Amino acid sequence: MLAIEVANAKKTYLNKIVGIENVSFNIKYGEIFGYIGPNGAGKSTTIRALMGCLKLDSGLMNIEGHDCFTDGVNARENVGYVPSELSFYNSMTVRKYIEFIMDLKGRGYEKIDELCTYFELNANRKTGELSLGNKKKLAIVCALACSPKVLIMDEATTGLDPIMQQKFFDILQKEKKKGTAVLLSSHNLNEIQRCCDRVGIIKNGNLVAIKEIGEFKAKLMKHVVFETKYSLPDIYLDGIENLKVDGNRYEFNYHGDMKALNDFVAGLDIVNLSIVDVDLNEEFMRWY
Amino acid sequence: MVKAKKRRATFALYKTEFRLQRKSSIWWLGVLGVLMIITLLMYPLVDMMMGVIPEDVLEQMEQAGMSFEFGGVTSYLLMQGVQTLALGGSLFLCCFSANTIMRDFKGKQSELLYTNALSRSDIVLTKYSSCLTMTAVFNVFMLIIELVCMCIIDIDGVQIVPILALFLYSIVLNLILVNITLALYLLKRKGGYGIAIAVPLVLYFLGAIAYAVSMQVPFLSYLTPFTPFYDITADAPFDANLYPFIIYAVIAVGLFIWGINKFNKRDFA
Repeated sequence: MLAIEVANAKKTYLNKIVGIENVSFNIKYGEIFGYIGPNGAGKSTTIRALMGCLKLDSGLMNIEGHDCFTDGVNARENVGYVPSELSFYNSMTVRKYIEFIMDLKGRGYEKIDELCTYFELNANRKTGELSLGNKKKLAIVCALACSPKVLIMDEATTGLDPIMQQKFFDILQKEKKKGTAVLLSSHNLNEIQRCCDRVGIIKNGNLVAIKEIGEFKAKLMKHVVFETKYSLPDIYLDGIENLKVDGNRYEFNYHGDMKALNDFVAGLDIVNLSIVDVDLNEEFMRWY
Repeated sequence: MVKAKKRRATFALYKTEFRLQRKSSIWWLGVLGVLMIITLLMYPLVDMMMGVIPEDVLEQMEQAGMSFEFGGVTSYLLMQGVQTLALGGSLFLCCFSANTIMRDFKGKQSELLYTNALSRSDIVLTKYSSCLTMTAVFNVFMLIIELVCMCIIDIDGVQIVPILALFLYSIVLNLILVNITLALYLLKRKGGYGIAIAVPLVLYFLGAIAYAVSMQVPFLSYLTPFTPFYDITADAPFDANLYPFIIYAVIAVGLFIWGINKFNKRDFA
């Protein structure tokens, strides 16, 4: 059985604005699926529909085989959820709030202390006094403390410092090893690159691509910079983009055959050479 | 197992409702309790003042629709304590009910509350049960205050049956208004306390108008659930016209069912 199944999902808001259209993807247990796109692309619409907050116009959304809207109670039974916009009951302490969520989910309190310590979250502070980063940590702890089989996280790392982000990704890897399915939405492409197995790219409500993260990396362009003793009349090489020439210095992006590039460079009188992977951001930006 | 989980979840939500509204509820109960105490403790003074008003002035006042013939502390409660009990209580309970629904949507807490393994109906009905409990708590609290104050002032004048009638009428009125308010907030979800204040206030003043012109326009008394309060007397506490209660009870239940139904199908955008 699939952990999350989305097929031809369509959601239009009352003001006729299309939230998502024809979105389809599946997530298996033990897989981290990155869901990326710019603001307003439809990431949160997809996630809110999965959490039963929005009713689809057409299509299907299932979690563990249960329809997210008509059978939402069973669908959300084993789900840990981190929303993008956070608000808690301000007068409650962190511990009381997590206990309240565990009561709602029917789970024990045994993981609360361990997770609060791990994320350096003071359990005795009032939720109303927390900073954005600490609020995010609280939502993450709430999602993880119920030992979920499915984790749905909407921009979970926003507001977390780099150390906490690393801790967050470490714990996601542990959850993955336990067999938890993770849907991680983000517009920060580097974090998707760091931890996801597959990635879905959403643009204007449409899922434009789903790829293995390895496949993306293999197809990554190289950024080539070299300097020669003498200037070249021209460069004849397939797969060159954005060529910039500055005297004897040549700079371009390359997505062709590596052997051809190697042979080309070997025939030059090189003073300086640098070949690096293009940042994943640039690769993703090609979709937009 | 599933039932035990659901019971635990709904009980946690039920407890949390009281915890979150603890301070405001204590304030409301305190203020209304003090108002009732002041009203009742003024009885000996008011009674004494009535004794010195000339007969012809009293007659003229009665002709103008103002009756000040208390005939005992129980009648005084039925005439003067009603405002605190009916209007004050309704305002408090309507605001309490509105807050149970509105709070989660105002601050986006709904994203965490309504995304657990509890259906929307379960959550709303749990919140509804907390409103019912608060209705009972308020009325019992006021009943205790009334009885204690009346016993201190004039123990011989205390008539239990009319006081119990007032207690029951108050509960019915509060339940009707709580249902209507909850239904309207289920349909609306966001916003301020406007509706919660307007519903009891408008119906209360409609009741006052209906009472004043009851001879000329009798149908007006059916337009508000407050009218039975004006009919309670110490001698015939259960002879009040109960049709406004019945009409409004049907409206309130119908509205509430419609509200839940709409709420269950709505997008939480």
